[in-house]
Amino acid sequence: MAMFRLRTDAEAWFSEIEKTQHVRSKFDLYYFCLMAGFASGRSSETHITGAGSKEFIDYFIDDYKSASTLLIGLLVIAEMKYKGIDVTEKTSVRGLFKDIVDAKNGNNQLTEHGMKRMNAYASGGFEYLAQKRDTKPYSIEEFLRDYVALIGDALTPA
Amino acid sequence: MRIDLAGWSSSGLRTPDIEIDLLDRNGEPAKVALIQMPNGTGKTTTLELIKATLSNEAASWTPDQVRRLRRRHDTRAEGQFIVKLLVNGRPLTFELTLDFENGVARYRTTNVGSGGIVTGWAPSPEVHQFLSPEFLRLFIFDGEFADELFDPKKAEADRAIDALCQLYLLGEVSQFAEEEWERRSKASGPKTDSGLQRYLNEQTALIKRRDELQKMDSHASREIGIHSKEIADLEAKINQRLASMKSTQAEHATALNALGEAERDLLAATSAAMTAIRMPLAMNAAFGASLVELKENLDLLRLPENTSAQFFEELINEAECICGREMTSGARHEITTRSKRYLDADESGTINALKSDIDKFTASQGEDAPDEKLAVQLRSLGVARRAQHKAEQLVRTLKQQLIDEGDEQLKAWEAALDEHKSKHAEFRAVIDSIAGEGHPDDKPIFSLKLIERKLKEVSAKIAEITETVTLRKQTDILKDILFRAATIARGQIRDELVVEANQRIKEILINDPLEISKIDRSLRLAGQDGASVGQTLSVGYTFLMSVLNRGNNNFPLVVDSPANPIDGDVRENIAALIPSLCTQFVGFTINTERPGFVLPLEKAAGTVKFLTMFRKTDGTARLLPGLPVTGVVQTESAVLVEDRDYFMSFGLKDEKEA
Repeated sequence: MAMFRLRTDAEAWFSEIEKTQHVRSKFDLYYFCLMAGFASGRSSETHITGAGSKEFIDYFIDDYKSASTLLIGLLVIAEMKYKGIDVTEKTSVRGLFKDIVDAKNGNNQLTEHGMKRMNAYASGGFEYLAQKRDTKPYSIEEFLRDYVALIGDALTPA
Repeated sequence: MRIDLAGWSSSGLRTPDIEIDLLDRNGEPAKVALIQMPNGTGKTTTLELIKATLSNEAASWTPDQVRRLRRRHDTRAEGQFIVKLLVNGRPLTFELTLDFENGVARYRTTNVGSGGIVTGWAPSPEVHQFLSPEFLRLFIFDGEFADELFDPKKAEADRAIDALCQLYLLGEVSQFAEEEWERRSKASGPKTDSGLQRYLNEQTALIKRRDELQKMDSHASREIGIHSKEIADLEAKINQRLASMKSTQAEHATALNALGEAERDLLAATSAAMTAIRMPLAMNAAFGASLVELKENLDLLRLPENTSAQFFEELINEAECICGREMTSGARHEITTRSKRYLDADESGTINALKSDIDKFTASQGEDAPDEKLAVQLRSLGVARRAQHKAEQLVRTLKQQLIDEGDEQLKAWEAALDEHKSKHAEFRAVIDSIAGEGHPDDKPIFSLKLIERKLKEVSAKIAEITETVTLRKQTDILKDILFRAATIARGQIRDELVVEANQRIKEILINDPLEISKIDRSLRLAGQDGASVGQTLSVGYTFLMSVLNRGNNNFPLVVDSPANPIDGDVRENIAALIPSLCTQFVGFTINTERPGFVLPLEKAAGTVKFLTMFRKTDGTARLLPGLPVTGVVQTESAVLVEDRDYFMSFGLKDEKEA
């Protein structure tokens, strides 16, 4: 079964803030990366298999359960942009949902392909964050403020 | 199994030369013993020595670590610490001798009834497992461990459950199976395959490296403990200096207050911001807008449709198509192929759930939009961070002011503090690297996880070559079953413990609506990320006592400053619960902990062994004439008094000056 994967270099990059009590699980780090991927539209499949990343869980943990459907929705939106699918193309939109959503997968409601793409956006999002910041984050307080600003920058057309 | 602490003695070490007897008049371990020791008497060092003596930890100490425990200006070449246990009522004694000249530690074990006196640390196998440093910290408890119980990155709560509810036995069976396979694979037939020796060598090297890393990890943990303590001591001394010098006194008090307030605000603001960020819509309004657009477009496209894939699956079983034409095999094939493009009922359900969630989360509820709320929280975070910086800057300026005025002592403390902080960071990096994932090309390997992965791969290769593949598979199945059994049992115990502990927390924290929401490796509090020191300790205590109370083994609970950071009402409630939750309680206290703690504890326990100990110094010489007539033991370096009234009246002034 496909699982959420976090890049090992991302884990090392977040290592200082991961120690704080505010980062409760690896899913927080994954989510930081994923949202940056959705915001910037960057996805990268280079590091989502093999030793460059590590599976850590196969379900949305409690902290993200209520947001899980929205995250799947954001994945659909990102993929529509990535594949150039017009929102009026019913067959393509329907096909995209079928590619991504597996309602019978009670753990995360994602197909293998859906999980692969989710992990690709988390991977691309990490690249975006690492590129935009001069150094790895050392303080969670400062990172949170920078992070939200970086997400804003990514969403605002230049 | 029941283990009791019967007492300990110290000579020639940094702790005072004294013997502590925890047995009552009947020769049974006192159910509750309180040892009042003024600050500076060596409470923390005594606890360290108890742990080291019981765990064989000192055998791997460096010469510096050994010599660190030598008493200043003492010329004796050796120091000794002896801990006496009762294991199911039978004496078991460990003697730790520290040879300061050679910088080495030696052990001797006396096991009455089985083995007599033995050189070295040699507990019987059934006791051995309970005397590991990891296990000892469960019943020799300090505030740091209470914090770790809440740290999601550490699995201390689960480890406590595993240890005290004996789930570790399943791990031992698993290890036995693995060792048995290793033995069989090594003993199997003629090793004709040229690759075998290479894999066996690799396996041996990996096991050797694993041992090295485990030792490094253990050494680094100890060093971190030492440097943490030095850092805390130096920071306390520096603060004390800043608070006592006239030129900095007032400003220092203001700065400390401001720092405390800023840190509290920062904790609350960060926690609130992090909670808000976990909802995508809060991070930026654009996410919400794009989701609303998606929902509107799905509505326009009429997705999901009323016709589901199931309709077509049923249709192909009909004699005629819905259009009235005959259902030929060609038509069946075409319909089957095209039906796959339609959403099935479950997929439709997921899309409907998505649409419904978009409506729910983006609907205006008369409050500020989530992104606006987050923006406000981030501004508060910025304000608190600036206030923290400002207060820290002021403290730094005050230190520099004193140093500029010629305070050489403060300068030396500052230099030592920097040194310890740097060492602390160095050892922390070692631990992080050992706990990290590592990279397959690392040479030498610094990650235990990577070693385990490589060992698994090598074991599979060896199994293949030595034709022990079936046994390898069976071993893996057995290990998997044991792992699952432990996981299921741990899950059930966790759920039951949450209920039990919350019941007790309700009794203890009457005025504080705190609750454990779940145990997921660590303790998770309902509705909040952080907790105050008092709350952490109260909940940590309660959890640990609930596990201690539940397990089949009974251990003493030894606690440093059991009531210090806890407020009045909570102290009383905890004190009243302690005797019912453990078989023996030993508390190291200072006199400021007495109010609200000692009387309820005594009332609940029936009797308490009251001990007061202080060093013999010029400052405490005036206490000697006031000692009681009986129950007093004096050595060259300390005085020990066993007397309830003396314990109760050992005053603040006495303690401060002791």
